[in-house]
Amino acid sequence: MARQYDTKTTIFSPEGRLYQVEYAMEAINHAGNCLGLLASDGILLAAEYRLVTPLLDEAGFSEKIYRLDKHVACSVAGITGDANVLTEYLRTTAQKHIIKYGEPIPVEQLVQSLADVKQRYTQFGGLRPFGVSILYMGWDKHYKYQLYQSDPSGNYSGWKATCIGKNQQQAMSQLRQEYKEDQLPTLQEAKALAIKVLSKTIDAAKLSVDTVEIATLQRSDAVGDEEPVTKVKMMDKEELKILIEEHDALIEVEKQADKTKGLKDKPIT
Amino acid sequence: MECLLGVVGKEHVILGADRTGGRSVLLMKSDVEKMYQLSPTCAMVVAGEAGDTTHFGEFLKKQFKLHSMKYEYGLSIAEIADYIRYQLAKAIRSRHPYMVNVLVGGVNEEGSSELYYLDYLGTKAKVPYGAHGYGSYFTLSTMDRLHSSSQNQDKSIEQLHQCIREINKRLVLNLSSFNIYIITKEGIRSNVVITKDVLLDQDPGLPPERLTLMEK
Repeated sequence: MARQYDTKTTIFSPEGRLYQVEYAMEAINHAGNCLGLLASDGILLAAEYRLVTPLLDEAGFSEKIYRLDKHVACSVAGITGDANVLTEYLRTTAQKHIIKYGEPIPVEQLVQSLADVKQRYTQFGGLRPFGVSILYMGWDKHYKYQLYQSDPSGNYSGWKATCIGKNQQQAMSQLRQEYKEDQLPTLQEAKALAIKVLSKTIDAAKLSVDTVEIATLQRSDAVGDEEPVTKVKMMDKEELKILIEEHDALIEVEKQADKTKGLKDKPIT
Repeated sequence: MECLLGVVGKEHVILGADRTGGRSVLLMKSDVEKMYQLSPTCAMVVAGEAGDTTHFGEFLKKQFKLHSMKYEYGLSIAEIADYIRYQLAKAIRSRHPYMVNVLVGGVNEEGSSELYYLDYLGTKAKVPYGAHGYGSYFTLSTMDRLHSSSQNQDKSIEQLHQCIREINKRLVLNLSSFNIYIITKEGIRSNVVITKDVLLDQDPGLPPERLTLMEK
């Protein structure tokens, strides 16, 4: 049945569905996880990537997190080739805005501009949609710290904590439990939470510095005459290692506690 | 032959534009509106090639209107000035340049007031006071002597009047009628300044409260 309607992007099926768009979303559900968390003093993106072989050389800034401008970064889930085209577009859009207005582009405006492009590819014939979902983190003077997500259909939305990729649903339900929206976590707490969620949803048996990367974005306070600046930073491997170790230690403590609890609860025979 | 004036004061900007409209040595109108309101608290005055000024003014007015409907946050005065400069710089490198000179003034949300000087070549400068046209030869020195960025509204208006007086005293041209625009956080007010009462006849239908007759 679906075969008749899924060869072109422009055609609705009788149930009112666009199969090509749905397939594009499906492509993302096989990609590595990306996590975004809003904190009170910053914002972070965490991404899982699968090391195919240790022979592979390392990329520059990062594998899956891209800096778009001084004040925006994004992480992608989906087809990397498509993602490269889109990040190129985002970077150009951000720079064009500076030429026109002399100011960095507001984050939502940037997200919207790309969502428009993605939407176009779901409507005009002969092309396939982009198989990429993107998480954006940024700071601007209008809404301060912001976290957005955009998907192949051209939808975009703002979040406090969100996740895209393979184990998206599992991660989201965990975030719902652990992320207290009335009391935003500090960036340090958010880092720990990101590790905790990723370790549960990751493909590999155990989280390691070679399979996960974290980037943070923070706005510095004004010092003296200096203008405050927004900084996007990749977390270095040492810090990541410490975070993972702390997480492992915590799990170990919990395990021990469970064990002793289990002993106590056992009826004495 | 036209003249534009602008002064920055405390939490306000005053723009002035003569009201003449003509070609070559011929004066055809003396009630031309040269101000275009770009946002609730930002305006620009435009002088130059007759058709270009109106087209450029209306074009930008609509561009900023579109922007305000597309995005919920407004543009700062600096952003507006940058965008106008971008359009001028783009036009001068095309086959259809705008022959217009502009003063952009306005008050930001937080109360700071700014004035920008732009010309058809794509020059942009943030200035405390500025002028375009032959009138600038006489008025810039006047403003340089009198201006202070913290001056109040009355002082700014009086300064502009002094400039207009100077133009009428020293300039050969007949620039005896000016519109002045007072831009504050509350919005934009306009006023007409006329130095020669003979011209009153040529301004039919002007409400008397908008007229400020200056002593000769």
